[in-house]
Amino acid sequence: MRRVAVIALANILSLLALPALAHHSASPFDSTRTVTLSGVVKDFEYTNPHSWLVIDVTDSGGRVSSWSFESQGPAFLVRIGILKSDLTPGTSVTVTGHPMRDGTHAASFMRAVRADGKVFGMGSRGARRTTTPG
Amino acid sequence: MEARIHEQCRQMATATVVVVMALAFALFRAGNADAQQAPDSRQSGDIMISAAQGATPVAQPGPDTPVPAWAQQSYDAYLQMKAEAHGGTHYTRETYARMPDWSGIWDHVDGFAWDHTVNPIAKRDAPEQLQAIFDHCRSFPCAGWVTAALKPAYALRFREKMIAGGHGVSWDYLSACLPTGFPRDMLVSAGGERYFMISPTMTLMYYQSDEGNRVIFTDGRGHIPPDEAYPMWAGDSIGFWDGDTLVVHTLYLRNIELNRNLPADSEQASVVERIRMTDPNTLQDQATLYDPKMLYRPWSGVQTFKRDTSAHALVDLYSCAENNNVYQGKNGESEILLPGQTITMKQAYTFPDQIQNVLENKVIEYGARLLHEKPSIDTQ
Repeated sequence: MRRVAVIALANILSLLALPALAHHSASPFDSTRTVTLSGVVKDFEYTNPHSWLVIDVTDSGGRVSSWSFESQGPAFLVRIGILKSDLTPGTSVTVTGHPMRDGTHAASFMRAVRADGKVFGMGSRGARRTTTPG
Repeated sequence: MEARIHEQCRQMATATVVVVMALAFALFRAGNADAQQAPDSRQSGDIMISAAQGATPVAQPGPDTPVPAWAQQSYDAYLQMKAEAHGGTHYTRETYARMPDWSGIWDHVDGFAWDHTVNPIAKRDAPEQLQAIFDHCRSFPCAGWVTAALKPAYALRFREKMIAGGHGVSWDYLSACLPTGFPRDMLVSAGGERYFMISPTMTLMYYQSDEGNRVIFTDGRGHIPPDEAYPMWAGDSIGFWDGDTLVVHTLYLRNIELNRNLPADSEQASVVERIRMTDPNTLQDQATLYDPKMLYRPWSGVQTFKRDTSAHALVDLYSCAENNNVYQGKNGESEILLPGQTITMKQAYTFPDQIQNVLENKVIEYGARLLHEKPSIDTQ
C-alpha cells in the first residue's frame, strides 16, 4: 500500500512541467500538446544553457529516427535529481514533452521514465532532498 | 647652537605629527562623511576609501557628485530615505556580525509582482498565453497585468511585440547569450540561482547565467560622474544600510526588454530598491522604476527570493555561448538548433530605442489581424 502511494506521488510530481526557459522564447514548442516516445538513449548533452536528451525511436516498420528533448542546464538538473549518469547511452526510456510546432522531431522535456520504472522530472529529487545544516 | 637645532627638530616633529593627525582626521571624516552626516552637509569632491586597514586609500566620487536631470527624481527619493535613516547604519569589519545573514543560494519566487500584484498569466510567453494576455489587456495601463503608465511610443512598441509574440514571432537578446541586465535580472524570472554576498563596503550579487553580476557600493561614494558614465548592463549602484535593509540607487543602465511579456525601458531608467529579509529564508526586493522617457509616473514592484535549502543546490556560473542552440529565423522568430545540426549565421540584436522611429510605418503581416484596430493608448 505504501509502495503504491509512493508511486502515485511520483507520478503526480512528474506531471509538473519544468519552469519556463529564460534563454529563449517558448514559442517553438506547442505547450498545448504532448508527445510520449519510447526509445533508447543515444546521447545526453549535459550543457548550458540547455541540456539535450537524444533518443533513437524505432517505428513499427523498423525505421529508426532520433528525437531530441530540450531541458534546463546541468545545475538545475542536478538540483531536481536528473544526473548525466542516470540516462547513459543505450538506456531504454520513455520520454514525454511538448513537441515543436513545425513538426521537427524535437520537444521540450517534461519527464522521462526509465525501463526500471524510475521517473525523472520535477520533484524526482523530492524524497532525497535534505536541508543543509545551519 | 645645538640646543637651537634640537628645538627646531622638536618643533618640526610636532608640526609633522599635527599635519599627519590632521590628514588622518580629514581622511577619516571624508571616508565616513556619507554614513555619519546628513545629506545636506555632505562634503564635495572625491572621497578617499581604503579597502582594509593599512591599504592605500583610493579616490572615489564624492557623495555630492551630481546625477543627470532625468535621474534626479529617483535620486531625490533615495536621498530622502537616507535622510530619514539619519545617513544610514554604519557597519564596519568589526560590526559585520550585526549585519543580516544573506548567505546561501537564492531563487526567485513567482516572477515579478509589479504594483504588488502577481498575475499568473503574466509569467508566460508562449503564443497562446501571450494572446490570452493581449485579449485581456488591449490598452495600458492594464489592471492585473502591466500597470505601468507607458508613454505612447513605448506602449505602441510593447503592443507590437505582444502581437508578434502571440503569432509565434518572438526574439530576445538572451537568445544571443547577452547578459540579462538590471532590472530584468532582479525583477523577473531570469538570471537564475544566485548568491547575495554582503560586506560593510559593498554587496555582490552573483547570478548563474550570462555574466549577470551586480555590485552595490555602500562605502559612502557617490555615483560615477556624468561625463564618465555610459550605459551598462548592471548600471552604477550605490547604497546604504538602514538597519537590516539595503537601500540602493541605480542608474546608467542599458535600455532592455524587461521581459518577453513586459515593455522595454530606456537608457534613462533609474531604480530605487529596498532589499530586506522578511523571514529567515525569504528576501524581498521592493523596487521602483523611474524612466521619464518610458513612463508618465514611477512603476513599483516586488520580487521575492527564497533561500534554496536543497543539499544539491548549485550556482553554475556558466557561459550561455558554450552551447547556444537558438538563432533568429528570417521572419524574426526564435529557431531551435538541434543536436548535431550546424548553421552559419550572423546574429545582431537591435536594442529597443533603436527601432522606435520605424514603428509608425512598420507593417507586420503576422500581426495584421490585430494591427488594423486602432491602438488604445493612455496619454494621461
